Amino acid sequence: MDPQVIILLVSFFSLLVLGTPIAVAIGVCAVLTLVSMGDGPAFYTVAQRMSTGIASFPLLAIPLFVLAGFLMGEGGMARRLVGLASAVVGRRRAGLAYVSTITCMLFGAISGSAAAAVSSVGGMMIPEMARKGYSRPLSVAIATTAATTGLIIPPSNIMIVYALVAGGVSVAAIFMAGVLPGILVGLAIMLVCRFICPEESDDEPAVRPSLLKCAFDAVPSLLLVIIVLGAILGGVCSPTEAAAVAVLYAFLLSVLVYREIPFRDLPRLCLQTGITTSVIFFLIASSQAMSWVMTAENLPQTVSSALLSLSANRWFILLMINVILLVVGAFMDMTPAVLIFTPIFLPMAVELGMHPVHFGVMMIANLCIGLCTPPVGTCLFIGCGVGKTSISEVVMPLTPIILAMIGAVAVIAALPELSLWLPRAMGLLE
Amino acid sequence: MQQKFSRSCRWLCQTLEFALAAIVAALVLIVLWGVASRFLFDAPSWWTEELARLLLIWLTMLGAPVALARHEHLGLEVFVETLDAATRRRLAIFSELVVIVFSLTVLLYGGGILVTETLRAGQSTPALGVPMGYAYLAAPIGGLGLVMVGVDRLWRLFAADAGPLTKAPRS
Repeated sequence: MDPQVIILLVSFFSLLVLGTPIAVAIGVCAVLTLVSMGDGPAFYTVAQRMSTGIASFPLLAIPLFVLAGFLMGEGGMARRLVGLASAVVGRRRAGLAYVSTITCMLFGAISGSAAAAVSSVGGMMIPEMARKGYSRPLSVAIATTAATTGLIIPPSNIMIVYALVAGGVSVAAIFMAGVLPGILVGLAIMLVCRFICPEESDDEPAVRPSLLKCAFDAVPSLLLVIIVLGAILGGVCSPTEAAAVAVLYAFLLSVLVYREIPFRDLPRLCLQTGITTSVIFFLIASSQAMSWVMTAENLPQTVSSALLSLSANRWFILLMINVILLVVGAFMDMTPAVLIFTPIFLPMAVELGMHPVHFGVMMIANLCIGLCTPPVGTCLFIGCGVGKTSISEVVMPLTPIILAMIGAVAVIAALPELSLWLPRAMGLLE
Repeated sequence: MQQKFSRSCRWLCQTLEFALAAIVAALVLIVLWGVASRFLFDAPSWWTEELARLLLIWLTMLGAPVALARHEHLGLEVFVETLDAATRRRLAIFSELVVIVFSLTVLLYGGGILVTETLRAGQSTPALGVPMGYAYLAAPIGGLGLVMVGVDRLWRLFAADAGPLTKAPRS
């Protein structure tokens, strides 16, 4: 191996393990590699790549969807979705688990954020499940895993990031590719819940709101996803513009119609959006610099030829990629994982005959599992915080659900049609 | 001295926070204006996309110091958390130093050269005709903010009343 490749890998992993912010670790490696190559002004080049790498209109959809998600979470839209889901499936065995999962799928579909789904839907459903005889860890496990489905079901910020690093992948196509796999993951979670959930103690008041009333209440919230996806798919506007319309719609609904967010909270929500965005974009910025360096070094080819030399068997390589992603996901948050590993694994996957859109859906579905598993799982941390339990208690009820999600990822990996059929049918892919 | 510096850092962060919220609001309005001008007035706006892209650079660079002060940057903390307090402190110091050196060299120095070079070359953005150097100015300013916040955190690590070193558990 070239000394540059070794410098890059060693410096990156040591900084990572020592707890340096990942974005800075990536940037430092880019500089060190450039310096060791002796290729002109390293500081200048990295600064330039970082600045230009984030000045992208498609990426602008991310802060807009984040803001829309905040507005929906605090504005009472999540509660109305819970109402609808309970009216439809709430009376069955494990009904509340179904309600949580379906609401998270709907909510995640609208806001594109799993963290928002755990805190708002989980915040409502976990106490409710505990009241009906679910153990707290079990309810946290359900809410946490269910929330990740929103990252696979469109619109999804992580898919926008993937489309950017993969290069030449249409956001609309990968959005549609996520629909069926996302539903599959949701169904897998619900299937497990059917077996592990206790009999619900029925202390329900005799009068329940009718299905019609609940549906009526939830229609404005559901309409949002139809507007957003309809506009993107119909080619009316770009995902970024659709996201801005989503912000406007969520603002009108939560601030002016439902009046659940007072005007004075808006600067706080904007600031929170700004910080969340900056964290993600700072990562993207240094990854853009790094990927420029990596391409100059042919690092992706080096890794992929090394892995491909182990075995030429398509299934073995696919399995290996997935196992690596599972391990990575357990330790690393999703955005850095997608930014770092897409340029390395995607060329390999394409060489194996995988479509980049299919690979993206598989990778994201796989990394979703990592959001729920210790030691590092954003959704798990939020879920435990909301549900007031410890991570070690959640591990037991979490295990069967995680296994089911792994099964779903295996199906997604093995059946390209599951991802590719819908975008093809809509004419978004050749 | 240290407290004085801490106070000016807090003041800096508050200013940056104000700017962040304003930029986010501006981005929403700019993109909405782009949509409206295309559909309602049938006169596609020529400047919205470019301005939004340039503001993204500013949002990212100005947000980075705030995120550092609030300990929101993503990092792997699992391994560090298994160590004893003294080692953890040493690693925290090391990590802050890496952040400071990176911000100084790449963002402040490299970004500074980037700004002066593009200003000298007279490069302007295609639609608005703004000198590109002003868009890149975000990098050295963000870098300066990162250095200040980094130094403040480092200083507090050395001071007796070392504040919270690691992220407070989410509640």
